[in-house]
Amino acid sequence: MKVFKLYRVGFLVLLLVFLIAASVWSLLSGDINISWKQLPYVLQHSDSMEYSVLMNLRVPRLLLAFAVGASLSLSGVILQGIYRNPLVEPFTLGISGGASLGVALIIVSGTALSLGSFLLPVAGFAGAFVTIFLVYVLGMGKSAANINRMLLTGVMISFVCSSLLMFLLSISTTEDMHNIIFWTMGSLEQPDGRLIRLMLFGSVGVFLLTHLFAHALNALRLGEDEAIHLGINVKLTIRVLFVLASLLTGLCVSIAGIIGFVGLVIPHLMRRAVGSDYRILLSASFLGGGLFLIVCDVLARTLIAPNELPVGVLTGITGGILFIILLSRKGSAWKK
Amino acid sequence: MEEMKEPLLEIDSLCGGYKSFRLQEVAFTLNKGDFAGIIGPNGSGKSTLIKTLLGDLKRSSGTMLLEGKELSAMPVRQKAQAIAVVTQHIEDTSMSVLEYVLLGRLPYRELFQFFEKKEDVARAEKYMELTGILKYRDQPLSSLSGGERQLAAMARALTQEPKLLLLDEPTSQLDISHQVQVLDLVRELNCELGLTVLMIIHDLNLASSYCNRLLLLDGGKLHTQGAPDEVLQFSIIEEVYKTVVVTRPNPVTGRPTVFLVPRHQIEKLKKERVINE
Repeated sequence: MKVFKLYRVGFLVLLLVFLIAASVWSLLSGDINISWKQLPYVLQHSDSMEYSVLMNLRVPRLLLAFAVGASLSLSGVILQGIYRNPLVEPFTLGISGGASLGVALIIVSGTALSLGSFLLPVAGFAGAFVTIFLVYVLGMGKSAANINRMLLTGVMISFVCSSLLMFLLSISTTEDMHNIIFWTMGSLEQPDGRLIRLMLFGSVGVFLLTHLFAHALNALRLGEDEAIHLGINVKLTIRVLFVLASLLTGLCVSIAGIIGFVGLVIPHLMRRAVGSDYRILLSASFLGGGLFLIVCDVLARTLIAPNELPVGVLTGITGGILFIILLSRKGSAWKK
Repeated sequence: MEEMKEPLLEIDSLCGGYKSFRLQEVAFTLNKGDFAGIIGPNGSGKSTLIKTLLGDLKRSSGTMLLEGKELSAMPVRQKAQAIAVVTQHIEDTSMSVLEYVLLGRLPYRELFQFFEKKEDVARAEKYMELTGILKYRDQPLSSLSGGERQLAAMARALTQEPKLLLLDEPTSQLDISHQVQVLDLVRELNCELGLTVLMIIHDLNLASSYCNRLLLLDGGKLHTQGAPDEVLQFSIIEEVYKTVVVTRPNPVTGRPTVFLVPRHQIEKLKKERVINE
């Protein structure tokens, strides 16, 4: 048992080491290459171009990549925990569809509310919020217990949103269409520091809050009735966690667009590595998600430099392939 | 047993359950130290009764008192400290036996307590030892056989240190040796720890051999209750189960034992009954 615990903590330390390594790699690579040896020099000379690239472009982007990846993965692991279904991810519940629709509406209508760089994020978040609200009200019904109903509601709302989005695309100008599609693909380029800070605080805040429910999530692994018999307030747990996870996802989508698969693949990988005890799984998923998106972002920036791949495309491809490889191997982490 | 008849669970005119199936005016009292069996045909309301007691299903009227306190008004956490349930199925079997058994300490956890205390582990180990599964401590539940999982579930329930242990058909999927092993264990807990047990059981003869009280349900109503020889009379069983049976005392325990009669032998039985009368 001692060895087992040590192994789990060791895994978290390992993740942290990889995270630091990936962060350094991310800071050093790009159009303007900064080498290891230059780094101390650059940091001491705040008037150099390298310094400004590092501080104004790469550090914010790194932080955003971490926060978004960690949040998506955390939301995924929470939703899989409350629904006890490995295929649920933040976007299954229609949140991305709602956000895209919100953004598309703003772009097509040409509304220029004086929100500056907040315009599209606010539109996206509003769209996501409406979807969450609908799924919550229509799907929860009187009891929190009806999981299938909720999932189906999410999937249906997702379909409706994507159809409406198609409709908007079909009537929009070429330029608007380009803007909508570009937004949908997801990007970690976010010039507004306030949004990055919001994302960072949001992710860490939710991460800390969910730890109050780690035991409840563990009990839920036995099923809802069993969890109640163990003295857990299941309704409250499911509702609070659902709202936290979906708001966090809404925030991610509205700031960075749709970055798929992180919330599905990373929790799955982490379950295999550390097991399904949520007291450790929450941290592992949070760190793992951040690490994954940082690595994907570096690859997106450097693979076809000087051009840049949309990071959502890269997470989709690598995540999907990883997932298929995992599934085709023996022994799933979800034994029923 | 006669001298200490302190009531633990008092159920009176209890109605409730599903829309299509309801319990009707069920009333019984369990005393501390009772080992009671709920019997009855499929669909007679055995599980509905247990689920209503636990609050999984809504009660529409009647009272359910545990040591004088109304169960449906009790907070879930307090209820989990008083009543533990062993069901037939464990949903996620990827956790280790110790992890699973430790979940039994959840009702006693403090709000900001993140790790289990040493004493929690000690208790979990004590009950794993008692149920004979300590040797599987760090193995995943999935590597255990059906009978061993049942024992693990029992250890988890005991770790809750409840006043009342509810068992939902603890022997339904076990072979005879495991059936006896599990029920012997329950009896031991009942006699030695003074744990009050309420158990749904299909097998009338096991119910007769182990329980000191039986509750026979039929169509959502409590048909008969009492000691095994009061309940397991052939006329009662034939009326409720609509099956012809013969009862004889078990040669060892003296408790009534129910024998089934195949249809082609019924005529023979009827002749015998006429002669005997």
